[in-house]
Amino acid sequence: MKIGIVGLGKMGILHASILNALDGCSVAAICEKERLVLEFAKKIIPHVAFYSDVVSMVNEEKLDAVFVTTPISTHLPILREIVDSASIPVFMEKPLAVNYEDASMMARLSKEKRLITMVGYQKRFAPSFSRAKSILDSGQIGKPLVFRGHSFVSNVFKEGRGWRFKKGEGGALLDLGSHLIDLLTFYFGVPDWVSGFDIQIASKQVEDFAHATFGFESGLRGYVDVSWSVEGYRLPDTKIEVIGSEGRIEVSDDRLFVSDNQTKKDSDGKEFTAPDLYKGVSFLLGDPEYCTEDEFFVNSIKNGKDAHPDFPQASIVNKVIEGIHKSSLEKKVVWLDDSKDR
Amino acid sequence: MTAKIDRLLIGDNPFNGVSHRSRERGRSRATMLSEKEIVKIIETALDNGAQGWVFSVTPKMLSVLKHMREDGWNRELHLYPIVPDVLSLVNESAELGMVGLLSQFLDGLSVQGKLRFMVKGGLAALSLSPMELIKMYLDTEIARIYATMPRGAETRAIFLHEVVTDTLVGLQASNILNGYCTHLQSKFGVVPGMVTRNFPRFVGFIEFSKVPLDSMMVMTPFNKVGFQMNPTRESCESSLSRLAKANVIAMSVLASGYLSLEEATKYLKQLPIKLSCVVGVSSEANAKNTFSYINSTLYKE
Repeated sequence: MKIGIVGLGKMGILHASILNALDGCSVAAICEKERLVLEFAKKIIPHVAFYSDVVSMVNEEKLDAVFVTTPISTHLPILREIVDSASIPVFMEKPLAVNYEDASMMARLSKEKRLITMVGYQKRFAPSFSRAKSILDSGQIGKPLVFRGHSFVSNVFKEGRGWRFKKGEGGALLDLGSHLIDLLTFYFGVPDWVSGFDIQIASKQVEDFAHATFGFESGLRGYVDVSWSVEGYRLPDTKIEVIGSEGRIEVSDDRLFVSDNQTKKDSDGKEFTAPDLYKGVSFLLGDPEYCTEDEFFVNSIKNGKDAHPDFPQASIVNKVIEGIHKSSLEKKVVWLDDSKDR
Repeated sequence: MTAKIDRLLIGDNPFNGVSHRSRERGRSRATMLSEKEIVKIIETALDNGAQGWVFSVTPKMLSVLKHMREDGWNRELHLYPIVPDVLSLVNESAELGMVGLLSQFLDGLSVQGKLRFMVKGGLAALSLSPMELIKMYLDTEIARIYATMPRGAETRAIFLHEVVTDTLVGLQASNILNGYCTHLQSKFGVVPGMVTRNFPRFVGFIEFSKVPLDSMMVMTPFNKVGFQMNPTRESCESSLSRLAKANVIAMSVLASGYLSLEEATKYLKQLPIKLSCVVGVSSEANAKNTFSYINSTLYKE
């Protein structure tokens, strides 16, 4: 399978390296607009075709899929360039777009062109979070009643540089919180409503902290805190705790704890640490979930099946984030489905 | 150059607040240990059979070296630094982008007078080869280590962080691998080392790149439960059995504290090649217990 990569930042390099190592896969072409990066990359990996524009790459190379790993504001225009030239599967790094309008446009385009698409919310594929999904789906803890969660990292303590700190393009919710929100929709579906607030601590244009409450049609309620400006988190930490009618589950990047009527007989519950959950992957770079997600996308293409989260599913994350901003601004509950607003 | 490898090494993960088993555990540790306490732990490890220290070139670990020096350290200690400090680089690249990151580094060099030309905007850098840039980066990192090294310390090998090694493996960037090895050997007389978490593929890549494996050191996970071993524990073991002469340092031998010392050493003992190993500990008591046990079980005949 011949893959093209658009954008050679850290995520582009990561995916290129993993994809190139997967059996039956090779990175055939790379598109990079920055001349300096392009020239360097040519000398490091001479066996790949290099382009400085997407259209030429897609037109000239017979690619089986394209991975887009550029700043978020470029996702929509790049998708347009790709689909104008070829109807091929597209993987976009997260988040799908800067706002819901762009995200839903991309979802629409992908449906019109019947593309197999996927967005890089890799935490779905992490050993702990994917195991938690199976446990929730199995009904082991009964009906989910309430959850709380957080996503923290100690990164931003002064005004940052780059697009992650620009109004309308960045912020802790889009950059960090989007993973947590994707996990919530993966576990529980689309929330009915959100309410919350976001505040600036170190940044002047974007939020550094957000708190949000969610309501689901099933009656499930929950809240999360998201911040990149808290002390003590050298590595990002994402955690969700769910209390169900028959038990409780606690899941974070490297730990899973389940307590239900069965496990309670022996002790308080059953704990799984990273070595319990770990399974070897074809090629480990960063966390194992990056390989698992890339393999999942490649296999979806091979089998002609939908991948997840696809563009329509991932656009919900943008919708939720916009809802939180709106709720913060207007100090009210925001219904995600307009028809339910009352 | 043949590599002179130590058998038993102390790692630095607990000193940097890293626990692969639990981030929560890592967090609570990091704030606990001062430079002085870390030096004490290293000394205890050396007293109980460790011969060297594996560490990432983070500001904290450099300040540990500095503390040793200022405190009059004068004892044999073999250093195995790992470059680059990947977490800082990843955070900086998120903020600056790739060009920003390159420019920042090049600007730093031109201020130090190490580049003959100004690189503002990065255009002049186009004439630069990536290998030259990597060499300059290595020189800067090695200078930082040498500048803080205490008496009695000696750098035995310099390792590339697994994220860099495995990126090169994935991209099949043989020219960079060759350049890295040659530069360390010819300019510094230091053995090139690489950390990988994809051992079988790494071995294939080294063979493909025609680098003699016995001239370098490899650090890679080996443990009974296959933690961090890819694609499988079995394939890592069978790659090992194909190597007659290789300087392999086993890491994650306790699977981040998941395995007991007895389980860990029993597993290492039955491998086809006798490996060196690196273990991180977070207290003096733990250092004494761990290193004396591993040393007497694995390395004292």
